Amino acid sequence: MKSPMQPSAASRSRRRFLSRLGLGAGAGLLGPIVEGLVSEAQGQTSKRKRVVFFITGNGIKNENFLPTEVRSNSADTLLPGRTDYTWPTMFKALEPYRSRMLLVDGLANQCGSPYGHTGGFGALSNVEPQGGAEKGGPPGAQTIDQFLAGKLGGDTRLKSVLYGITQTPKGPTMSSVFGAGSGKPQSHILSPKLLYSTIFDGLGSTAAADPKTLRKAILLDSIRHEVKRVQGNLAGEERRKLDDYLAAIDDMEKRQTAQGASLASCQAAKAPAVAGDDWNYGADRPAEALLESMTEMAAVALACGITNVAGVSFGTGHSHYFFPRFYRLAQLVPTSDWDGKPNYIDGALHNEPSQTVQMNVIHNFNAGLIARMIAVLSKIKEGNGTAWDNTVFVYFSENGDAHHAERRHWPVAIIGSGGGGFKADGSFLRYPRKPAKGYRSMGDLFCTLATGLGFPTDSFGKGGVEPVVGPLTELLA
Amino acid sequence: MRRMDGSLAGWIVVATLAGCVGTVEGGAGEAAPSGTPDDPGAPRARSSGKGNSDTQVTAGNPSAPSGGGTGDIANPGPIACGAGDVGPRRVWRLTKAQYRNSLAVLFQGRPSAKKQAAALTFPIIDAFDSVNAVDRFSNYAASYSLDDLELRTVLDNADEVAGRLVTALRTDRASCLGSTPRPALRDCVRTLVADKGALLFRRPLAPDEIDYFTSLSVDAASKMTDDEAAATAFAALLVAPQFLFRSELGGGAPGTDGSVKLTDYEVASALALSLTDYPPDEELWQAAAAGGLSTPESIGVQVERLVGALGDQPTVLRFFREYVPYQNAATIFKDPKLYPFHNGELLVADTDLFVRQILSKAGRSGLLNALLTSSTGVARQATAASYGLPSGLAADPRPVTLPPTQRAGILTQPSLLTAFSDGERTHVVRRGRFVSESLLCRAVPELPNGQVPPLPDLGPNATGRDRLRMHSVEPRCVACHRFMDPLGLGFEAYDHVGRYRTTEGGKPVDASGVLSDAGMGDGAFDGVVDLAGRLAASPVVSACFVRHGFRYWMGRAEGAADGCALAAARDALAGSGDYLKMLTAFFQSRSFLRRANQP
Repeated sequence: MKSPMQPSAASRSRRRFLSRLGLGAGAGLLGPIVEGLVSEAQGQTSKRKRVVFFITGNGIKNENFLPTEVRSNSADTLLPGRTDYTWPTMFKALEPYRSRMLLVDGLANQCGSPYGHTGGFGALSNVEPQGGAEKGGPPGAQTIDQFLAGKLGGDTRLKSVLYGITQTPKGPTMSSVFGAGSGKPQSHILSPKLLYSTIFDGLGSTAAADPKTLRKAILLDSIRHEVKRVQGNLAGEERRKLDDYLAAIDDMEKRQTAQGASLASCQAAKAPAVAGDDWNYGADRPAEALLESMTEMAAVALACGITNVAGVSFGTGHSHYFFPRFYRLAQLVPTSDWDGKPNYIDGALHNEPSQTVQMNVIHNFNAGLIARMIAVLSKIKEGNGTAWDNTVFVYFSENGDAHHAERRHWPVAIIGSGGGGFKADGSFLRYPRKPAKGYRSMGDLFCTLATGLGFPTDSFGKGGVEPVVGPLTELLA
Repeated sequence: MRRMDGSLAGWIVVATLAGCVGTVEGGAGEAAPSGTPDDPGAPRARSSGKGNSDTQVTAGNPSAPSGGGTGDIANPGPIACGAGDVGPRRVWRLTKAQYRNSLAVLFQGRPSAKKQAAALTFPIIDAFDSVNAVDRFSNYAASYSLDDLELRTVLDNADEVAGRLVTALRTDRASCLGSTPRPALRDCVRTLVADKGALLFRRPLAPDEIDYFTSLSVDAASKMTDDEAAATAFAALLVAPQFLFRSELGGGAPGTDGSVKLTDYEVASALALSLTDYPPDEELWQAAAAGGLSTPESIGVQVERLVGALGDQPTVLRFFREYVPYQNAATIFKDPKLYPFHNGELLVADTDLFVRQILSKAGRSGLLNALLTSSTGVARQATAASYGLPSGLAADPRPVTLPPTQRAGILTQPSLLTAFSDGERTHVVRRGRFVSESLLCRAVPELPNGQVPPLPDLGPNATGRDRLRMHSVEPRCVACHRFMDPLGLGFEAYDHVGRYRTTEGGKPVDASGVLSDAGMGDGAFDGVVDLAGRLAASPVVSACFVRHGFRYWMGRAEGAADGCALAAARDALAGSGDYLKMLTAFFQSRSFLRRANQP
């Protein structure tokens, strides 16, 4: 029974995994798992609704998003859904799924400073962050991803899987756009290694068989014991800090024994935590490759039932300049001649009309990541269809429509029907732009998402920046 | 009028957005010290402090007149000192640096006069990177809690660190884990929990704590090896709130005002972590153990010792980086095709060295004046063009004499000028807002949502002054912009990459501005060199600097009961311009040493 501590097979597997990361080859990393899942999941009858929020920084400009056919239409009146339009280049990779998408414009959410660089935590909540978005203050309210994580993630191992990239990462995690509640930012992961261990560590192990799992159980108990010892001396906000700690423990314990992730293939990648700084980018480890790797992991987590909610932060943040250098994407853009210096198209950050080409490349990269996730989910049989049939992706920028945004109209793409809740018929439609009569808000969109996924509400985001009326019926099936 | 809640709030009186007429940040203030940290005594009041009665900050007074100026700052009323509730008990999660350094100390022991503090020698997952500062300062206690993702990180790290600790102890013959024969697991772990626990908890463990952590190991031993069981106890120490959170709970008998004093170990922890990012060193530990941190004098000795040379202390530099956020220059994109000479990172590095130079030469005498007016900068070949210097500078950064009619102090550092610019043009409003908020302590409200008309596009040859003309005629703009634009326009002699210029868009630059609410020196000024000289002499600026110092070093916004601390620090700074005396005054104050005696 007693054996000295030594590297396990799992840690060797981890090292093999990490060595591949250095090559920037995320593609195919978890292919065998997916293949295993395909065969294991045959005949699975239960359906699980899933949602993925893909949030980019820097705004989505008219020049990238608006179909040419509608640009001359008045922005002050409702433009009903139409399907006869030229597909935006920014979503080229998603064109095969065009008939299952909705493109929406005109929703308002004037959180943050006008002409500022970020909506921050207000982007997904319709509530101004504390101290203002530009200062990066904590959330003013729970964001929609975490609201849905609470609803959809009750029985999953992870309430949500949040990850992303940023310009100058200072560590393996950061928080900038997702929020657990008022004053409670929700971190997202920048490190593929950390995401890997978060998703896969401990899968399939039991306390009796695994000393590490046993120790974790002991540690969680001990934290609870010691928090109570300290907490008696505290009140108010100070007590809340330790309440958060306890809540994190409760959540982790509950999910330790969660259903889902029971398919053997999902356990094939388990590995212990390893330290490192793989969140740092460079020419030999482009941010694009890291994001691809993490997206594959998230796709498997969604396919395996490890989580039902994912969030991607693509250069969002409370500063001016949060896009990293894109070493790979830069090769696709025909403007790499800035005084002989490499152009990593981070120069596209100002998102000027003249930078439409660069921004199309960047958005289309993200569209390609979504397409990859769809491809994985499409292989997983679920009920009479596939996991993709029960999933919805939502793509927009945390800064609305521009690098310096007024945030009067937020371009949004909804991809998938989320189990039949959303219209998803290939339409483009535009709501009257604020302050035109009848304008609608991102808060209304959040109510729509909740309702379409089976949790009807007309009040998410109410009392925030914009008036919230309720779900946008035009978007619901 | 309303009082902002939270953080900075505590003491900011903000006008309604519609009128924007009351943007006065009430000071906390002038008051006579009363009692000692051990016996705060009964509250008492007085109407003026030592000397400079016309330069005092006032205690925040929500009912103070609100004219957009600093009338209440210049003419303080009687303020109770020692009155009011002191801050609540609090816990303060370790920062990333403190966490790493604490783990280093776990392996290498406390640093001392004979043993330099060392860094962690093995990799861990960096915990606690994500800070959403409530105010500008990254070290606000309220900014630090712990979410589920961070829990995973500290659990993973605890596993790694505990395993390494056991390995290290097994090779140490002086340790019971490394001795032969090895004593019983319970006895050995008990000894180690007491020893290592004190390093991590920054105080001796209580007997019941030792019993508890030892029992975790003993209970686990039936299911794992003895080494793994010992590691389990260590890992439990590493995830305990007593380690991850600084404790400021206080103890002992309440004073006459009902508050309790921080324990000596809590004082030692707070001093060490605040001033060095390390847990207490050996000298501080011994002082706490001997009950030697009870008097202002003993604390003053420790502060001076821990800080050491001001210019070399990273925690001091961090204050200036966050107070004057020039480091943002590194995040403002400049088209390298148009501005090949510009290097934001190097400009930030230059200013770091400039600040350190000021701290070294003037940190103990005339700091604020030197910071605002010194024409001795730091530059290098790669940044010379940004300062308008010839290209023959050395590749390494060196002190340089800057043209005194063009550059004076930190306000004219290209890094700061870039930080308050856009990618292509200067940002008059932000530059003015920085001076208004950070140097004059006026609170400028955020822009009201959806009510701001865009500035007209006047073409590429329009000057910044042209573009902002609307702010001085449109009533909705005037209300707030009068607190920013008259100051920001004075910076127009510097372009958006920080170069000095005499023309803009083919027209001569007009760098005139208007200073108000500075207590003295108010009126029209011509350019930042002129402005900086006036600000350096302003008692309001000095008081404002003290207030930001309080926020940074105390990790919270000032409140009604902090008047004595602010007054003492202001007096310390005003007398000699000694930054160290100012921050020492904070750590000697009732605001730091006492907590309300209630959960």
